[in-house]
Amino acid sequence: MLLHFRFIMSSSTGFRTLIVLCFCFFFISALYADVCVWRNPERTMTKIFPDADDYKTITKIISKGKRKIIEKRLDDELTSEESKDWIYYEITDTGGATSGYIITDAEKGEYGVIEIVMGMLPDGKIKGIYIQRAMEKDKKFKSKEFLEQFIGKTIKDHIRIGEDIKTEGESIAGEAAVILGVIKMLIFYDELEKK
Amino acid sequence: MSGGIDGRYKNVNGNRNNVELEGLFLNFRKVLSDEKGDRLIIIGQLDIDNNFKEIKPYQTYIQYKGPLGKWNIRAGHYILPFGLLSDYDTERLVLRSLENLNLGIKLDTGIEVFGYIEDFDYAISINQGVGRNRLADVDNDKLTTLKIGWQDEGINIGLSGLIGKVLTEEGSIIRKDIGLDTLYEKRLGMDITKYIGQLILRGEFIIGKDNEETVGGILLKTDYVLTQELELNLKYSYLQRKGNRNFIGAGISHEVYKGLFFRIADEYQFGKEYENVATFQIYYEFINRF
Repeated sequence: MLLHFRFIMSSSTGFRTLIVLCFCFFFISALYADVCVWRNPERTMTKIFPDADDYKTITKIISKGKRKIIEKRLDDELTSEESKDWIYYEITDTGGATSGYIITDAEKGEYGVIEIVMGMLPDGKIKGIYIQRAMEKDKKFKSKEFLEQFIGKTIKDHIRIGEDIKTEGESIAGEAAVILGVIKMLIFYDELEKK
Repeated sequence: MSGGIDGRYKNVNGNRNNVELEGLFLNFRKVLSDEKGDRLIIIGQLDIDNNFKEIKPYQTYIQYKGPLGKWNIRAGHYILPFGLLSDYDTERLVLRSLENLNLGIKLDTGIEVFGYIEDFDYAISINQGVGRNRLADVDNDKLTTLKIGWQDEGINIGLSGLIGKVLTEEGSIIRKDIGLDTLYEKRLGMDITKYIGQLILRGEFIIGKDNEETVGGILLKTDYVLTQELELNLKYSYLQRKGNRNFIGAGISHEVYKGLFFRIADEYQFGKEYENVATFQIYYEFINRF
């Protein structure tokens, strides 16, 4: 078997075949790559947590059972890239204690992706929301007045347009995307971090 | 782990046709944390290009990260921090940026210190100057690259410098223009990226010398989002080195399905040489987490 393996590695055709097989394995079981490329993670973190000293990346695997629970709470299906795992960031202070969490989400607006960054305190209250990138023409959803409405909210609040969240005039795609993103992040946090 | 596949059909000057698996690539990324934060980032990227004819590492390095990323030390094989390259890698796009024409080198082996102070970014890198030609030390004069950047809401501006001996990439235009594969490069560059609603504007301006030959160049690139899935791409680049080369390009990018893109573009070169390249690309990227 060892001789056979050496033959594969020494033959260029064999090596190429091995690479293609590896590639196909990942390809078949893969998700589509996350388009939410976080351009300035550390600077965004300090906008929401100005006293942050450092941060840790945390990954939580989503079981099939958890996925069903999250989808039921969201009343919607998760996309394939949302359903296998969840990444968020634990913010630490100079003593190493947890100041809070940074969670990111990307939702589709009318003109592409809206990248949302949410800061959350350890007690589950929203500390702040920052819109990193968006190409929407109508930018009401990026205004301080709109985003400040989310501060202090928790998973227990009814975050809906016209209820907890007020909009100027008719709501737009950007505002709906931010609300959806915030609700989604709160549910993910509740199901995967708190429980 | 992530990766992708890049297949292209090209028509050159209306008569030469080529269908090729331009690239198949795998990326590995692992983050190791201590009790306070993320500390070590390990990156490994492998490219299999041109119908399996070339298998080369792309970026392969270890990065030690200071608190909040304010300072970092990176060692290995990585993209040089010059101009737009720092944040904008066009390796898998049809309309490319200027480094092939300008520097003749993009990735190199070395050590880099980089980070940020308030709204300013900094990077200083010392490299071998051999690019993707080989990874081993070849006793080359060292290549030094320096960049300082500033950013505010919706705008990034950078100033870059590069000096040292470069063994240019095989098949690069710079090798063709100078007639040598190794040259002593000096460069100053300014880059700007501006986000205006649905529009992203990118510009790069360079001036320098290759041995004693003066070099100057411009890149202007724009991406305009038409709908959620459709984007218009435009490009103009100019390089002056023993004559001038101009490139005008236009293309459309369509996200057919999540991660799956169809792109079509036409690029016309005039000045020193004349060539028209029409490209149709199928591109897919994926991710797998362990």
